[in-house]
Amino acid sequence: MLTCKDVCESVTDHLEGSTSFMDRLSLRFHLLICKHCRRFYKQFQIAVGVSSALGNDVPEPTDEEIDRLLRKLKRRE
Amino acid sequence: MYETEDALISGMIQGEDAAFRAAIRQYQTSMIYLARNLVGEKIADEVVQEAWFSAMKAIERFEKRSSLKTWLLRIVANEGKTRLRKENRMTSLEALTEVDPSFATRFDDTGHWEPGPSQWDADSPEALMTRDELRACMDQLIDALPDMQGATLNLRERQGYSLKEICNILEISDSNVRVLLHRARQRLFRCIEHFEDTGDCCTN
Repeated sequence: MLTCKDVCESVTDHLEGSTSFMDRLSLRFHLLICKHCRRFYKQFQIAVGVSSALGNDVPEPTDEEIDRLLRKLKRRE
Repeated sequence: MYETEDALISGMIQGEDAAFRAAIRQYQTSMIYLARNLVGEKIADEVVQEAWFSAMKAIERFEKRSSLKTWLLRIVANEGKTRLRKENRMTSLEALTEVDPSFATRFDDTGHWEPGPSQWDADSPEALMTRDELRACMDQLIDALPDMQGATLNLRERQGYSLKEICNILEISDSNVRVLLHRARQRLFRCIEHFEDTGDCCTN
């Protein structure tokens, strides 16, 4: 029988599709009977959804920056 | 000018400046992202420069078993890891457990939630992202994630690499990639939960 801790541990495996049919069945059953895990699973997916838009942006290199880098690299050759 | 990746690689092998210019333009941003995750913002540029230098020397031997981008990112990861090891900053991957410490006290002895997760006001990623303070807080958290956790999260969520490709880039096992990704996601979850509960940014 799956515990809430098991659900917490395996949620990424489920979202990445790397679990077996039986694992998925056990999860579905657990989610049916456990409101805490239903909430956790849903909110975990929201957290995953925002992570792709996070992190400070790195600007594309300008022509000057590219030239400068290339010059440095060639000097070292 | 270089319409295919093969043409670009051939140009790089011939030592054509235009080919390196095109490659830098195309891949520099992704390389900097990965270097920042691994070694921090301050020396990321230096690590990427080192990676380009290694790539210049090794391009002749590139066997095209992966895309050029994956190959370049692998070189960045290598340079970054070498740097971390030299400075004794590399986070150990041994004994990496599935549950992040921030979750360890959330369950009772029988493995049930104690207390349960709180209900968030936001019900979608879009709703969460409209809050500037939370966004800034999570940007900070991502920057502060341990080297390989940050790198794994970036490669999966931001650059869309499969778990298998991430194993190849970071040269770590499949189970390590899964655990690193899971740990990073748990940290994000805890951070959002803390913000929803208190209105403050998480400190861990």
